[in-house]
Amino acid sequence: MSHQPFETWLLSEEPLSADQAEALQAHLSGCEFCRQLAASWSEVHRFFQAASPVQPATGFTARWQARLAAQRLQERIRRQRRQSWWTLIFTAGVAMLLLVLLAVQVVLVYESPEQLLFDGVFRMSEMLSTANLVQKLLVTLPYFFITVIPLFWWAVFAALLGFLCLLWIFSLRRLMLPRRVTR
Amino acid sequence: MQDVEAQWLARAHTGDADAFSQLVEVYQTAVYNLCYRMLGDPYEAEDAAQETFLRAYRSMARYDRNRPFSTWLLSIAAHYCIDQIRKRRVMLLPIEELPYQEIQDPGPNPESVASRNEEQQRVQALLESLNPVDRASIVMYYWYDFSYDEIAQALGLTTSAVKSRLHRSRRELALAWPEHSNQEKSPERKHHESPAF
Repeated sequence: MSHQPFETWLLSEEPLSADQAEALQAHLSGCEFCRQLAASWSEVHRFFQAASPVQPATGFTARWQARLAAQRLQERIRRQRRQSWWTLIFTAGVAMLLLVLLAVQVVLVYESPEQLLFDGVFRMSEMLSTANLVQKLLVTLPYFFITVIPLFWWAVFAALLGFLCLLWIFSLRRLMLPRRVTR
Repeated sequence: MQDVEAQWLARAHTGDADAFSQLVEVYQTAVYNLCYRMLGDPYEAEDAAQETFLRAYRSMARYDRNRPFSTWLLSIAAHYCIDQIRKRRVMLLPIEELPYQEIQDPGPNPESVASRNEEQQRVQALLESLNPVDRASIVMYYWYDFSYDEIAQALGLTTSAVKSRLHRSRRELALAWPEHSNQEKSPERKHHESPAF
């Protein structure tokens, strides 16, 4: 037995014409399946209409704000990590480029490896003698300042340095405190 | 209210989290209810509703203000829930491991609370017999009074596809109903209950 188009009419929420309604009633009187279907659907429909909307637990918005803040923090950490990687890659790239340029210069300037070796030893000894000179100067200077600057000015200088250190620590703490979500 | 909401929307469009929080306050029940009807679990529904608002907040720049905000928001929620149901099918858990379902209801009368919970669970059991997209269509049609066009827009379907999905769902629900009501009338003794003698 065919249940079409009666099944469609039964389940449709569109209004039926008088002829359609009459034909449907005639079909229903002789079809147990469609009668059962109509009764079941009307029960389900009633059930849906009676079911009230389900409420979330209280504090939903506050939980959403906390989640947003956590997500923003995660995003910031990810961004900082990405920036660090890009800086590292950029620095490494520049260093590599400089090394290549240096190698090219070396190849162009020196005709043989012996010349490069002698020149390297010469520059090394030159650097060592300069370092020795700087060391002597650094040892001599404090003796000079201790004798020239009076004790009062040393105390003023130490106090100023201490204040700057405190200022630095305070600024760091302010910068590291987590910010609020709201703007 | 409409004007106030338009102001919140305008501010939220510029990334104002406070203004968006006001929208969360207004639409939380609508979104949570849709997620609960789709997923059938209060914890998953809470998570899905929260995620829906986060996605909406991040996508505010793409929101067309000529379109109703509720349709756009519920469309995000429906798509998220459909994805969750599809993922859930991949990692099916044994029924014993599922968390206990408790429906939030502030009703003072314990009998009415129990009756409402029972009703909600019957509705859920019925809805779970449908596929995710059909379920979303039914929920939007019967709980949100969405038109065929609005459902089509929200779920990315054609209007005729929505009509045919709704028809198919109604048929499935009507056929499943006698089975569900029989189960309610003759509940089997649970395995942890003591024997009858």
